[in-house]
Amino acid sequence: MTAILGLTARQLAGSRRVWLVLALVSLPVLAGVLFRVADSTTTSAEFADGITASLIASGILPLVMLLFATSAFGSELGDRTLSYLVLKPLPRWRIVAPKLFASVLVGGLPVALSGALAVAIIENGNARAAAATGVGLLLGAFAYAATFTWAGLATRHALIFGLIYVFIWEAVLAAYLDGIRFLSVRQFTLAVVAGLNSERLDTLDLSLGASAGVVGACIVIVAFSALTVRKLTRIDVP
Amino acid sequence: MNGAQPTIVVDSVSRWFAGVVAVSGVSLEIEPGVTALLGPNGAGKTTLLRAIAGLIGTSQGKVSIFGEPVRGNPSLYRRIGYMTEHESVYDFLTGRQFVDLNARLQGVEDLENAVARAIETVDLVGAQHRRLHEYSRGMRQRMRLAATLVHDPPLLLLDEPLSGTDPVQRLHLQDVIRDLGAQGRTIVVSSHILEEIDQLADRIHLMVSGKLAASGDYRAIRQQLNDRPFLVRIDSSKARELAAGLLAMEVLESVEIDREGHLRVRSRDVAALQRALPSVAARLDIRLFRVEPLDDSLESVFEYLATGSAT
Repeated sequence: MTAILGLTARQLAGSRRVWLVLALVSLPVLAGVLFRVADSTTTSAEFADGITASLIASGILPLVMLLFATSAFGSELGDRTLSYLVLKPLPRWRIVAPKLFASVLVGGLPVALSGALAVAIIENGNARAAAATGVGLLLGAFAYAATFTWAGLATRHALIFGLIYVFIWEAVLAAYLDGIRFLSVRQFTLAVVAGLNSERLDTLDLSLGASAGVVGACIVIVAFSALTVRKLTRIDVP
Repeated sequence: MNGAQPTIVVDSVSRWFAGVVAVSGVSLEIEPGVTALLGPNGAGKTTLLRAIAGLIGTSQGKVSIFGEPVRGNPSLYRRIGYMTEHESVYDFLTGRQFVDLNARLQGVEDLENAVARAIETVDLVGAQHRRLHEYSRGMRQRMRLAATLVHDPPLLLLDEPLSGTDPVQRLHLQDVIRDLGAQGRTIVVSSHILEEIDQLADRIHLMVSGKLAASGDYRAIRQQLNDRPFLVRIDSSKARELAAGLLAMEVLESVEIDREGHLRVRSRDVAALQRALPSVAARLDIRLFRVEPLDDSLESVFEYLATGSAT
């Protein structure tokens, strides 16, 4: 497992997209610093909620995970190196799991740390608020990683699939239609952040509780990981 | 046949992609020793090898290795080494790291020694710490072979392993493959050049247009090819005189002149026809404009045989 984890992490971190990701994850921290130095009538809690919900959970986290997780298998399908992994005596889940962890390690963890740091700066070192943000974002990163890793293996148009999911399904439909919120990773992420710190995100209309968020994210992680294993077993490897 | 179970059994395998038939109704059994899959580019060799290795499924038919189905049976890969036709590697790794990675994923126990032995076998000890993107094509092929055999598998599937190698590297790799075969392994080598596998393989399966065209050793293959009548159209300045000259040389089965005035000849001995045609034309002062095999399925065989003989 560690061999594939290390290999994938090097593949993902070595690509040019890592610079884009670095730029994206620095934005919340920059926003936090700006909040501290600039005059504002907005309270620190309101600003922290806005950064968490509107900037990170709705934009940076899904975009970063989309870039990395679709490449976890996608780049190996493209350059035809996937055969080096599948022609090994490994149960297919032992190939899928490290791919998923690698994209969280390279993409999700920096976003979660960036979010936690930004909230800590904005909230004057409120450790509980920062930890809640980091944990929620990390769980969301795993759920996005599972979804987009599957997409990278299942379709050549994984980026388009991901963009439609993030900016149409999650940002528009699931944000306004209560009936489909249980199918939104963004909603799970925010529900967990709010659940871990009751003072957070109370300005948002969150219909899911923390438990529902955790269960929902876990179902997404397990279901899409299983789909990826199934796909990897049946795929025609180029 | 020695009565033992064949290593590979391919039973009526067909594979098509979006309506295009890549492999059609191929059945064969492969035993220990070196076996060649020979055929021109596009003959279906790679598709068949990929189906044997379980990288792709079959549209029809079955493949078994060591008596087990290979598709969806990853534990079997402990006993298989497959070198694909694609030369892509993880460019950011050194040669040694690449072989080491493959050994780890195979679960090799004596890692250090296995990696060192594999790299030594392909004679790349001096270059093992260089990154793969710095390698020549031939060196990359050799390091890929080292990664393929690092877990000491009893079955090796090598898709065009000599591609990209210079003459010295080719001779070395041919020796390596021959030695591995002599140790009792089953080795399948694909090639589109007859000359490459002439001295290498105990047995040859010839594929043309997705089908198994002939099987046997080198001599048997040549004989079977020669035994099949070739239909060839010859565009010349004097069709009737050329026909008379070729008939006199006794290299034709039949001859006719089509509506456009081109000669259509049928021969079972294409090599003799190749030799006779220019000499008859020169002797009778006939200009040859075009010589074209008319049987599509044999055209490519004709071409590669000519290429293989010439190189």
